[in-house]
Amino acid sequence: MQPTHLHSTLTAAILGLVVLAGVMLPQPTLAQNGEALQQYIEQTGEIIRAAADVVRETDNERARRIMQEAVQLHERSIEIAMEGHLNQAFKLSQRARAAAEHAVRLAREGQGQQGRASQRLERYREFRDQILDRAREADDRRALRFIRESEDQAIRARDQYRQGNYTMAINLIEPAEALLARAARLLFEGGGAERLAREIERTRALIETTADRLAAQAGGGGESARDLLESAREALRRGEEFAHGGQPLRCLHSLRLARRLAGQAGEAVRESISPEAVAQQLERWDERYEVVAERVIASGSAPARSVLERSRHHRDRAEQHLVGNDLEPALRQLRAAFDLLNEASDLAR
Amino acid sequence: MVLGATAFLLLAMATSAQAQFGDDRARWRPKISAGVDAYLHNYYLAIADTTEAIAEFNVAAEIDGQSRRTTSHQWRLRGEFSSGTELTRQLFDGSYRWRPDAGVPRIRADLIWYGRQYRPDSEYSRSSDNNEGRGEVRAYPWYGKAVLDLRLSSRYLDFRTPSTLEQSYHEESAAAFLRSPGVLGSSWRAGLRGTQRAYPDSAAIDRDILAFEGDLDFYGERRNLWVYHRSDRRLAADETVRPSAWSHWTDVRLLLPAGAGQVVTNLNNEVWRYDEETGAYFDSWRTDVEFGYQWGDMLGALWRTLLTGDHLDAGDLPETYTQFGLQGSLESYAYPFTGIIAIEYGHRWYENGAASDTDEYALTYTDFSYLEIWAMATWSMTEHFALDLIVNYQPENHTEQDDDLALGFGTLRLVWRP
Repeated sequence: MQPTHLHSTLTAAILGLVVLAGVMLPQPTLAQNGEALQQYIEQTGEIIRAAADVVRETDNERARRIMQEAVQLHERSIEIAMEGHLNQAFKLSQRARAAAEHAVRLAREGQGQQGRASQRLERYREFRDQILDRAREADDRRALRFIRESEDQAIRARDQYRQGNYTMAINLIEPAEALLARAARLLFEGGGAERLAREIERTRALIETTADRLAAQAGGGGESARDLLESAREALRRGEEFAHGGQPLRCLHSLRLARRLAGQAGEAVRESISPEAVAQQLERWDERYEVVAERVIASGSAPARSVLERSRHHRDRAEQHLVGNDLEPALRQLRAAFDLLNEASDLAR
Repeated sequence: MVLGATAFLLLAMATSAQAQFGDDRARWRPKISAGVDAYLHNYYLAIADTTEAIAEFNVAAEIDGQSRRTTSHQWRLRGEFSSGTELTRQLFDGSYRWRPDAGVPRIRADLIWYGRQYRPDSEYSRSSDNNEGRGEVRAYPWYGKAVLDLRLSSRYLDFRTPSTLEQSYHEESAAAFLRSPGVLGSSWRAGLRGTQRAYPDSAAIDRDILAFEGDLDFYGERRNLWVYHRSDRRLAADETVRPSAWSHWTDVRLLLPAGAGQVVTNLNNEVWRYDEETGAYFDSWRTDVEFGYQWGDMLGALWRTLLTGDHLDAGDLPETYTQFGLQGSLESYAYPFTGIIAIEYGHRWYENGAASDTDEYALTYTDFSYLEIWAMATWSMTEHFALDLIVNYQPENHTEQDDDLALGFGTLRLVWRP
């Protein structure tokens, strides 16, 4: 889509007049010839009137101020010419034209900037609402702080917009948007406090399951597996510290490492899962279920109740697999049952 | 008013509890800050270079509160009072959501209000005290694979001493959107909005706006696509004062993984088409592109280098230009320092703007080189104290020295979060 170029009579008049003035009257003649100078000053007057019409169309304060200067310079040039100082009058009239041109330029440029700033401010509000909803849902303190900083910046941008400083308003709304984008990135990467709590719980459950399996092995599953598990516990501890310190990304990195280490420890005993270890996990689930069920009932949350029922379903499936001595599927069902139990607990808060 | 704000803040501080990890209860977060905001604009004003500089010292007290997340009636409140050498500001921002059984929201109401009172000796050029507010109610009557989002809103701006440049107005709008159901992860939204704005002291500039608006935010592993589009039909009450127009605005941001980093592509497209062009309003098509590469770790340092391009097509009008630049930036989310520093250097060429010997008074724009420096940093000195710094400086060096200008902004604030 190409813009059309229909010049209004007004624009054509300004451009035509100023070009014509320059072409028709050579400068040295003007400064020496009273009649030519009078003609030149009259043309300046026409240019100023046309320019003032353009500037008045806009609410660009700086353009209006420069326009006022142009008018004053023009009036002064008339006075000076009448006093017979032709050279000085010519120079003043020249400056009046330059000022008028400057004012028109600012006014035309300003219109684009005003539209852009207005759109950006409006759009900002919509995005702030979206990101704020996400941050509140995820209860991410750090993201909420970025959003508040962004709001402060947006207030400054709004103040500058009200002052008619549109370029400045755009310059200020850009970092406000950058702060929102930063919050959005954190929310996606970190997933918020709720996700972190779930990830920590999931990691802890995996480490404990692996520890139980190691304990069920003769000799505790071997020194190497125990070492790996200890490193996994250490990584989990670090993850929790990062979460408390408001560093979700570092927390997730540590948790990922902890799960990898626990997985490596689990590899050592995978081939010899005992029915006793699975039965022990079922008992652990039953104990935790009592606590969570009580919390869910007290909260009255329908979604929490539904998730709790799904967790129960997976636990029962695990028991069926155990009876059939299908240990791997039993463990998978148990893992799902633990995950859902944690989710129900979260929903009940 | 100051006493009231102080009492409110002290009460909130007394009742505020340091949120614990995984907690879900109503909480209040107070904040007190003091610092300086400085604005600088240096430009040629017909007779001589003019430097407009405003430095404002102010102290601000803020309180931000929110309800439990898992409740049927959720709210968020933010109040702010600031007093400075140039003006006094107040802000109230409240939001309420009805979420039956802490499930999906069904109704939402927002109210925001700004108050500004300028000191008699304020350096600001527009210094009429003013109030600005907006109220909006949203209803979500249908949830399925998408959500129907219906909105009614009202907005006003009221100046104590209206003038040509400070005009009061009120605005009403209605909108209907379809959007994705979840707020976490990827999202999309599309809809229509109708707005009527009226200026009681100048009915000639009243306007109606019909708009289509949509956005998409897609997140994947190391990739992100964000698209925003808005098309407006602006109908002016008096075409001789301000012409009716179409405007189209599109933003696309794309991050794609490449090697150890990501390829960054940002595109902004902006079209204005007036029913009739005038001296101040002319058709234009502006395209702004950034393309480059970013690498590093958000936890340590994220480096970015971009080629930037900007083209304004206003046909054979003198405003038509092309601009190219090179930008480098460093961003870090690390603790205790968080911040970004970006530097861009480039050049702008006006295609129809060169003046000749014979038309020296024609409306001309002169080519220029520019430098843009952006720095934004937070130093969390302790758990409760932080120092915020923002600096922006943009000088333009024109081929015609009289056209040189510089724009700058800086703020330095000490923040206390009790």
